Amino acid sequence: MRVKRWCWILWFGFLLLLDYTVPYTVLSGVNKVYGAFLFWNLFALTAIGSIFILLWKWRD
Amino acid sequence: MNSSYILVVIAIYVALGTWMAYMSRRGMGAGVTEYFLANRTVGGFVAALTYSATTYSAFMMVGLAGFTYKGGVGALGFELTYLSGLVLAVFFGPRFWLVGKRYGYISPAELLGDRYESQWVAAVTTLVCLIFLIPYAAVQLMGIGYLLGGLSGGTIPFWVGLILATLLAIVWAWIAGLRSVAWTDSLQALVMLVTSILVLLFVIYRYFGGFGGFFVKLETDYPGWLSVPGPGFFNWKAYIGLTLPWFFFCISNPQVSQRLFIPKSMSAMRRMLGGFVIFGFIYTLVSVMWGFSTKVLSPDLARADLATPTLLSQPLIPDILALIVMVGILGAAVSTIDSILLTLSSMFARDLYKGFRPRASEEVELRLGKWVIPVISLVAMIFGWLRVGLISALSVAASAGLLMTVPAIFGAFFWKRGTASGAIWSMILGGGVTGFLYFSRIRPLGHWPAVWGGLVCLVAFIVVSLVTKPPLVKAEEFLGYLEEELREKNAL
Repeated sequence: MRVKRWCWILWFGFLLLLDYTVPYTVLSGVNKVYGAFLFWNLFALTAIGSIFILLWKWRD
Repeated sequence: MNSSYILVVIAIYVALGTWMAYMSRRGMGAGVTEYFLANRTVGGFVAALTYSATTYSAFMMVGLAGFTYKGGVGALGFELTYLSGLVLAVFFGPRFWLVGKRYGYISPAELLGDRYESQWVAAVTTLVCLIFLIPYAAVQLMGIGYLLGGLSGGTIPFWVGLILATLLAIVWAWIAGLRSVAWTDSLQALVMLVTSILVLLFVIYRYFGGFGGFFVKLETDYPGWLSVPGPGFFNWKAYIGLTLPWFFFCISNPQVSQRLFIPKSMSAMRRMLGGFVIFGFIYTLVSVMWGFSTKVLSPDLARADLATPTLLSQPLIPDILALIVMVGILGAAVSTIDSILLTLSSMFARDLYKGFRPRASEEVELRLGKWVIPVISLVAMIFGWLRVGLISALSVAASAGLLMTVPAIFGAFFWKRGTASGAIWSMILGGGVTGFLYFSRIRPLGHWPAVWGGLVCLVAFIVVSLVTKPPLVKAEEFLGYLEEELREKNAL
């Protein structure tokens, strides 16, 4: 459980790193809908998908 | 807009909400846990809606739309970063829920006080929440005063909206505690979401012929609004300063974290959190698109917070639609205020009164908690009425101020070495630094108060904990129980 927990923490840390860096570096000059707008939507959907995977593992 | 139409729509909203609040009393038992937590038996659907309505205040449709108008797509990143912070609820939700049931906690402050074996931890946490959340509630009340005044062209005075919102929050929280709050929240969450989507679709198809036309127009006329730092507001220091406290919102704000105690089962909590992230994603996109639409339609507003009123007064928007949205914004504000009131009153009764008078009966505690609801409401209303500058400043600092409870919360669940002194000093020093930087408007190295306050808070928690004696027996028992139960529930 401990290893699994750390894997998920690292995964979410990686997502957050992308959240803070990609729009301010790679996409900072892309003034299009497929730039930061699309990126942040995909970032959120990935985070939400990961949250759902964890939630659906829970048992009563 | 004709003020009599506004009053009729509000009357329907009030009648419907109050009827729901009364209906929620059916099957209600007695006692503090019943009143403040609905006896920990809330189903997943209602829990998801009350979680959503409590989290999202009038800030979304007014503030976030304004942020987008002023700063562009950075507003989307800011709010979606907050939403991604719900991963914390995946880690902390089962923990709060399990220990809440085992030890009978009704407030997050009580949890901290018991885990660190110090009533003063609970008291300081409660005081931090009172200091930052009452002004936040006051600003929500003021927002309703301004909204009704603005929509009626000044015919409905500011104080009418202020008093109306205060009374609604008191009555809907008072009638059946969390039951009435949760039921009215559910109604309001649905109104918030449906009305905001309706307006967006109406604007996009009436003015731009569809989403394709809208995005082409946005890219052509305001390309800078589609990247960061774009127009400049969302430079990366501002982005960090804004997102840092909001990322931790789901555990730092007691009116939200208290909801981690209420689901009737792990399945209900799963539906609560899953439902909320879907609600939040849609609501965020819609609010941001409101801001973008207003930028394209009315680019020269004097103030960004006029974006939403301007959008609603566009000539092609029918009055009836604007009226329904007004109810949505009103609902967003009231649902946040009554939840804050109920949570603060539970903390006052449990953590400031009962904590220091263990022999006090549950009946007295409940009676005190119920009477604190109107008292806190009146204090918030008076702050709102006086429109004191200090109140606005404290409200802006609210999310950063509440961030100072986060190291103690992490320590409670993940660090056996954490101590009561560490928790208390982290909140006092971190809160002090944050408050000072907000009021003095000093930003060392250009970083926002949350960054410096958070740093001081974290260092204080670690250093003070290392030089003081931890409650190791309690920590072993508390964390040992959790580890075992989490394994059984297959939660991280």
